[in-house]
Amino acid sequence: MWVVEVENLHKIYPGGVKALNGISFKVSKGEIYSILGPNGAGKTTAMKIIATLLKPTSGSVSVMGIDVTSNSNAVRRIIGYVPQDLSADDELTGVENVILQARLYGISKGEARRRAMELLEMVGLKDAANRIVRSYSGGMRRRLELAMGLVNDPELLILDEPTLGLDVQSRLTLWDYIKRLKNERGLTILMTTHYMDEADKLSNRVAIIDHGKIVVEGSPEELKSRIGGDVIMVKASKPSHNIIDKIVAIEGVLGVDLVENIVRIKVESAEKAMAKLLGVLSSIGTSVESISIAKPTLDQVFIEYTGRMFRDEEPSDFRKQVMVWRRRR
Amino acid sequence: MIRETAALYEREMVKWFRQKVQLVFVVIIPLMWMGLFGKSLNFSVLFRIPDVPGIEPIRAQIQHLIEEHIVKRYFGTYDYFSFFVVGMLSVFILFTTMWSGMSIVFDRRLGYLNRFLVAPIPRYSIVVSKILSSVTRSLIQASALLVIALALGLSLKASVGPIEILVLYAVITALAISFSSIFTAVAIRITSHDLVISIANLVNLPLMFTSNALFPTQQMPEYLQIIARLNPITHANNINRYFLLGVGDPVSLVGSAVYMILFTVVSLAIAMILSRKIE
Repeated sequence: MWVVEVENLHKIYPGGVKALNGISFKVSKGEIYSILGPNGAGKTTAMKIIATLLKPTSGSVSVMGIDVTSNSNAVRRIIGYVPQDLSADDELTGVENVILQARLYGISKGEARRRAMELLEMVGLKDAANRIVRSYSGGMRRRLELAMGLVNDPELLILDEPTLGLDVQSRLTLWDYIKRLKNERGLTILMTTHYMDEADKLSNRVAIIDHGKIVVEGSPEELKSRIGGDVIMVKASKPSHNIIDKIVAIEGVLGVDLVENIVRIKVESAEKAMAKLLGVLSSIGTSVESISIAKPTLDQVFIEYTGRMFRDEEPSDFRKQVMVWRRRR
Repeated sequence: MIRETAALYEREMVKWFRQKVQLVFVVIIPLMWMGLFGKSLNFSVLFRIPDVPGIEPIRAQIQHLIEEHIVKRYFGTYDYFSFFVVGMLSVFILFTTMWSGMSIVFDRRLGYLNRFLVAPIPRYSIVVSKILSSVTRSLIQASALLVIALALGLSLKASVGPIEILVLYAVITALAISFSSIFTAVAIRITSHDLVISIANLVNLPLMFTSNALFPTQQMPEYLQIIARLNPITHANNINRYFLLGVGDPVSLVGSAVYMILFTVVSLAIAMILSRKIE
């Protein structure tokens, strides 16, 4: 049985913003499944629907075979949800937050306290358990959220952007906890992220989502091998029109494309092609600002499948609309 | 259901007691109203003829007539301050409970609400915990007011005992439940706290003035009397003034009691039904 089954899911918000445009995916037991995409791609919407916080416009979603719309409470009992926005009450202590959450699952007060201390110890917050959450650092808050998502010993843990806004050190710590949850407890984890390296390091399978649609799905290795070869990125100040034709002609070049002022050249071997490439660039008088060589990464998978750069992108009108809508909520 | 509601209620109360400043306000607000407003707008004093040498027997007679035919006839007692205090007990329930929607709005804004909504709890347990905490806070506020007023000269009728106090608390609890239910229900789909503030500001003074809290209703124009009769504060005061001050007619209390019960049940039912709309 699939832990999560999403079938042709659509979500149109009041006001007509299409957040999800027919996505389908399945998560099997014990895997970490990542949904990767830029901000506003519809990741959070999908997570909220699976966590029973939003109703889908159409399509079906089930967790452990239980439908999320018709049988929400049964689904709630078996999932843990760690939202993107911080949700721990910052006027309570860490342990009070976890106890409260546990009691919402019908766990008695004494048992809730015992379980809370156990979970806080697991995420390394034992010493901070009795501190008011307001005094926690960003990383500590995220770990507290993680502990709160585990109080009911869920079958499925949903993590929405678990490391958003954390420094490198805190991110690595959190990754470690997430990996341990999977390895030691065999927990199934569905997470969203817009960090390529996070999806790459943690997940068994990745779905890349853009504009409310899944553009490609597979294991990180699979996706990277689909690109094949190395990539040379040349940042040119004024790429001339014939630059693509000239580069394609070089021996060993598999493909070239131009996104803004960056020329991406897919080659069999970057080392071999580099010398010839530099010659061609200088012969057509292109002034090069920088050159980088990349072995296949999920970044490139993203660009390959969406035709866009991942970061440093102005939000499209669609995204702006979603952002405005979110702010209004 | 009880476990979850208890857990959520406990959270509200822990947060409230943790804000020590709140507790200071619980004392200051009634002090302001009783000490400043109650003592300056004191009709018993306003209608007192000053001592002028040489008019003594007549002064006393006229004073007696004024008290009998004006003060006592309108307020049912010679002691306006006590009339005012008992009326303000209900108004303070309103003043405290009208903010009960605020906490749902903030829970939503700060993301706490999502935590509750992903848990397998009945949606009404969230609303019930808000109502209960608002009722508790308003009863604490009303009790503080009662103690302060006693210190400032509130005089209850001689026969006030445990039963009268029990009736008082039953009445203000019912009032607190109805107002908390209404103001919580209103906030269920509201996302801006500004709107909650506007609603509270819109209703607080009108509800006070269209009741018998400050003045009796019989001298009001007909249309105001009708509004006053629909206002649960009026009925709460009728019952409280009878039991605490001996003011009013015991026969009319039955109507007031029935109205209070119906109003409470209906308000609570509305809040429960609307609680399904939380998201």
